[in-house]
Amino acid sequence: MTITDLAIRPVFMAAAILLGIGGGVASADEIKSNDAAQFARGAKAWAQTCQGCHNLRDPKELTDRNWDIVVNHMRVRADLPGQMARDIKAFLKASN
Amino acid sequence: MTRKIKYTSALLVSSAFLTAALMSSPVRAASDQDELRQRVATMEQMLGDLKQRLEKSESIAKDAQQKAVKAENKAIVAEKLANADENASVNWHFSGYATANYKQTDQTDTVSSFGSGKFNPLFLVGYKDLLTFQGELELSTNSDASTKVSLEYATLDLMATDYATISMGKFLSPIGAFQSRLHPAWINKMPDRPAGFVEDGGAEPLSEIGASVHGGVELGSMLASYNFFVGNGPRLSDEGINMEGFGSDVNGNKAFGGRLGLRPVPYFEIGISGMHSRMNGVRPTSGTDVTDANFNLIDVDAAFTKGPWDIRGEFISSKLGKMTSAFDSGDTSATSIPEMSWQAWYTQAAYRLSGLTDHAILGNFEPVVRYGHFSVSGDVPDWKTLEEDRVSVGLNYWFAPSVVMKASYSDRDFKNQADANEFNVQFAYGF
Repeated sequence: MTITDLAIRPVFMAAAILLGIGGGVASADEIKSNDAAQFARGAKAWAQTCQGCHNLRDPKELTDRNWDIVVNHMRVRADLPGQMARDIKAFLKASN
Repeated sequence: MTRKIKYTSALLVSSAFLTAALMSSPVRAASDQDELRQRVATMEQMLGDLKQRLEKSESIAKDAQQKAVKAENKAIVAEKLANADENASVNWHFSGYATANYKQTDQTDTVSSFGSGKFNPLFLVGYKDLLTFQGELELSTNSDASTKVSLEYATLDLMATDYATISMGKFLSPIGAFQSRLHPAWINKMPDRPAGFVEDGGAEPLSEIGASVHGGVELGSMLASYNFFVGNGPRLSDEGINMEGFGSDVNGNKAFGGRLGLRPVPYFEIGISGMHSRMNGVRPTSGTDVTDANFNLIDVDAAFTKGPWDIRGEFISSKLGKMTSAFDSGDTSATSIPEMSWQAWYTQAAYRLSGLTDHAILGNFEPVVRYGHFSVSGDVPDWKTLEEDRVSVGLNYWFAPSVVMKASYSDRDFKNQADANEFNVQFAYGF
């Protein structure tokens, strides 16, 4: 897997879910999410919001516990709504 | 145990048959009797061996059972520990970023140099989804080899509702976008800060010590955000308006302001910010009367960040009313300072080549261009030394989403000092 893949693959995954296409991309059932709707919301918010300031970080960079506090940090820094932060957490935890 | 009974039974039956045979045949030859006795003795020996083996097996089984119980207990403890970590109310994480720099310039009295790399450790501690503490330091090496440590920000943030967070402490100024969100080296697309957005003598507020209420709300497909703050406010300095958070207020008049942001469509955000402060005149050593003045600032920022594109800009304009003040408390007399104004703005475009190619190497390159302007109006020469127009072109290579090597060339057209051609290299890692 190349570095570019690490950075870009989650974007394509999120885009594929948003667009409802599953060919070659893990479906919501295949990933570790218990709430496909929240996963989709989180993927959308992650792609549209986080990139507003910095490159999209690979969900595999951190553990579930780390994402909990890091996303709270970003919620405070970027003035994100609480529900959006929870959705992004769900997406990152299901994708790491 | 069943096997033991079987062996015992077999031996007893065999012994009984042999005894009966001996008793029923008194005329049997002596040699036959000796043979039979020998066979009985052999069987008794076998029975003894079997008893020993059985006892050994029972001992092994007992040890295995004890080990199984111990393993089960360990598994229970491990599960409890894992659950305890997952369910713990307090969570923490060490984050931050680090940089290393090189700068070459033809500016007068300046030589090429490796810059003091910076290390910005960020400590995050959270209590459930209710409270966070975030504290970032900045450590750097001065030109005299000493180490400089400064507090970038340290806030307690109470996430009161989904739409409102209350923060207190030292926070990055929410005015605009560059300082509050973009200045960390692994985020900034250029090795340097834009003209006028500098840390000393620039136009952009850096930090504030006070309190703020901020948050965001989704409005259909739009996202709106707000941030209102009150703090100790800026002070006058030799270089202009010092807008780095001060640990105490000099005049009791708090600075206040905020930013409203709106993302009307995905990947495009615009923000408008403002700040007001009453500036206190700095009293000189001779005790001359000084006067106060209003300081007002407005800022507009915008960004389009979709796919490989990152296009953004920011404009700041600020004005200080006429006042009488010393520039430093060590000055012997006050100066009549006319109305002053500052303007700084920049536009920047970056494009990641992964938008054009799937090549594993080429796709990690990112060309960047930036134009910046900084001007100061008013008759205070010392505050006008940084006036410039700057054109920069750069090329970044992203090893990972937060690991970047940046190189740039800047044509710096200064208004009140010699122009300069500058080459910068920066290696940055956000973690």
